Amino acid sequence: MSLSVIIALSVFSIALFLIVFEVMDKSIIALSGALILLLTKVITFDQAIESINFEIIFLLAGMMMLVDVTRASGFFSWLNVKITTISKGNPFLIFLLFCTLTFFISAFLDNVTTIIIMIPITIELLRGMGKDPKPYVIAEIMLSNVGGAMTIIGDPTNVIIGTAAKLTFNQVIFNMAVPTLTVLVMILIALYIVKWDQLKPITKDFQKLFLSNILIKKVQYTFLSEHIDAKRIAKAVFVLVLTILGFIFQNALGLPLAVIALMGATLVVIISIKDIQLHRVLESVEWATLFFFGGLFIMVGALEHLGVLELIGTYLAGLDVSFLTLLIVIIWGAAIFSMLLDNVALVTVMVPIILNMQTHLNGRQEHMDLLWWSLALGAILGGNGTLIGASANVVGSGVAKKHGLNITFTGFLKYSLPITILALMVSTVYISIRYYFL
Amino acid sequence: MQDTISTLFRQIELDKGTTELDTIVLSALVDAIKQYPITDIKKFQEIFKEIIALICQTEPKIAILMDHMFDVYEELLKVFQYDSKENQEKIKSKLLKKIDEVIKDQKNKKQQLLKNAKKYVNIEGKSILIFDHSHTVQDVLTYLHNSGEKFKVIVAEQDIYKTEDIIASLHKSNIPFEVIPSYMLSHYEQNVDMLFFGAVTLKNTYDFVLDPGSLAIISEFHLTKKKTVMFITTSKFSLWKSKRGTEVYHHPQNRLHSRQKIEYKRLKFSHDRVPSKLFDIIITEEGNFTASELKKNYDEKFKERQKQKKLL
Repeated sequence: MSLSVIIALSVFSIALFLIVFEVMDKSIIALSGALILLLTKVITFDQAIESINFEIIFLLAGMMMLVDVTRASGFFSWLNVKITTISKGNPFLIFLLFCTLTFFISAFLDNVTTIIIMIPITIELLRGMGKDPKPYVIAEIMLSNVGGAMTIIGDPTNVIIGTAAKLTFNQVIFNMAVPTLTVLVMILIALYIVKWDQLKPITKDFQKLFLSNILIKKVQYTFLSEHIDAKRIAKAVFVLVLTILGFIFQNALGLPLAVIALMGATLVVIISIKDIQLHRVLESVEWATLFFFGGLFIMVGALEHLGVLELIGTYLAGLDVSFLTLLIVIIWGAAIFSMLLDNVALVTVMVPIILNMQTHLNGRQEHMDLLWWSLALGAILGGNGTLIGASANVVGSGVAKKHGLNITFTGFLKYSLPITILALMVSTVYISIRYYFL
Repeated sequence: MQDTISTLFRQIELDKGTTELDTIVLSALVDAIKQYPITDIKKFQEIFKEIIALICQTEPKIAILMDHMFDVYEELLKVFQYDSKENQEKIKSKLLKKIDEVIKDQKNKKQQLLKNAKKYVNIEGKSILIFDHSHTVQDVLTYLHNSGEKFKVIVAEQDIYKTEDIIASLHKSNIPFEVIPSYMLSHYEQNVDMLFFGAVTLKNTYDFVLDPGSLAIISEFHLTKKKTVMFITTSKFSLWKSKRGTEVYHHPQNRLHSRQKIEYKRLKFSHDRVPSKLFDIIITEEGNFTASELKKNYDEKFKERQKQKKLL
């Protein structure tokens, strides 16, 4: 093993360790790791720049700006309040509507933004009704990850997989909709069974009806600013819908996703220019996250350049196991790693490995795309397993704490682990069915 | 349920004021009645009594809400003479009509109070000091300004969120104003012509319940003989016996130093109790009163409420 390989592996492992234990901000860790590799000449500057997937960076930046302008318009607050009003305080409807809304919003926005939008109103509503909001909040955190798995833009791991594997928006939805929607239904049923006594209808309990209606009015004035600018919302939503349509018709347009996202961001800024402050929109871009990606891509790029990942890919492709077994190992292996480590780092490493595997297995194996779906399902659903498994989990518990709701590691685990295991079983069945029949 | 309702009422009262709380609760009652299937009239009557009991026992008690719930209950007793299923919808509709009347009546009382403010208080060319986060005072100022009165407002700064709400309201109404920290008012006394206050309620000890800090300001300007005016609708009177010092809660808060990593405890109090005799004029929808006149007015209403309570 050469010195460069030892340095690259050591730097990557130490960086991963520091990220897991949150020694400092992960963007600093990733950038420092990349810098060390450059300084030690393990990788050249040109090679480092080549390893950065700028399509991912610009796709994320574009979507962050678009989502921020849409959020600032009040659209999501209006939507939340509308759902609350429709529920009429019925606990079961609140549970169903909020969880489903979280799932679908997360499919098109990033998980962290979804959680920031949904959790405060959930806590306000349920606490006001004298109920413990914890199970609902945990469900929403988990469903934000599951929903994010449904589309190429819903989760950073899907963005990485989709752009690397040159998958289209429609391909990802087509392949991920069934398992993710199945997991959504499964989570709703599981939580309903566990908490059914809290979800009973209240139409025959006048006191609870009365209390719920007061709460709905409180939610209305708390989460809606005095003046809802319908035009501003309409502009933002129009561009958001246009951008999503652009993703759907990506093939016909012949444009990369990043270009469509940047077009959406630019258009929404232009048409909303009187309603927004541009520097605040630019501040909404999580530059730290993008720098984290950049540093990570360079560290993984170094490993790839040195042939480490090709070795791993060749080894895995050469294993004397059936392809289905390999797929299942990827699902569960990615899930276990994802519960404890950063799933973005995991997927960034796995992408070149799987590309190598595909090269070696090509011609000998059908359904190579199942490798991607297995990785995506394992990495994203596995991230639900623990409180540290995904960014949305950490941010969600932080938002909840800010609103007086303390979600501990074990408190999260008692709901998340059994549900994650069930979700991974659903994924395993799905991949198996696809392997054998479709 | 009692604790839940008390907490909720307290939060809404802090956010929006007692009059708005009253409107929110009555609207919620309307919605709940619409959604609830009345299958047994007597049972619903008992349920409604429980709701009134819940509202009457919140901590703190909300006088205006209790006043209106008693009005609605009186109507309920009249309406519940009917005892057949065919009249379910009629019963609901009469009840809803009564609640609607109560809400409109409160709006009319408010409107009358505003007219009385214009009739009994001359503020032309004057500087009015305001301090508390009273929507009634803000409505009075807006009404007087829109009626063509020329005056200036001096905002005595308090809790930043409340002060900013006051500023936003004055700005929206195009009323000229300036802000001075309340602890610096001694430097500005000569610029103040009169003081306007609103209140959460009037207790049976004849004290008004106001924002914390009000007593200090009113006492200061009482010494300098500046006219102090109170604006309150009679539906806000607390028509039950209370002890001095109750319903003033203190809230310990943990705060962070803005520039250094220092955490400290900060104690906040919910309200001040201000004796009504410190006010020169008290304007209600029924007219203008001195403190002793208001006492008589209060006592009459108190007796009336004791009769209503016997219905429960």
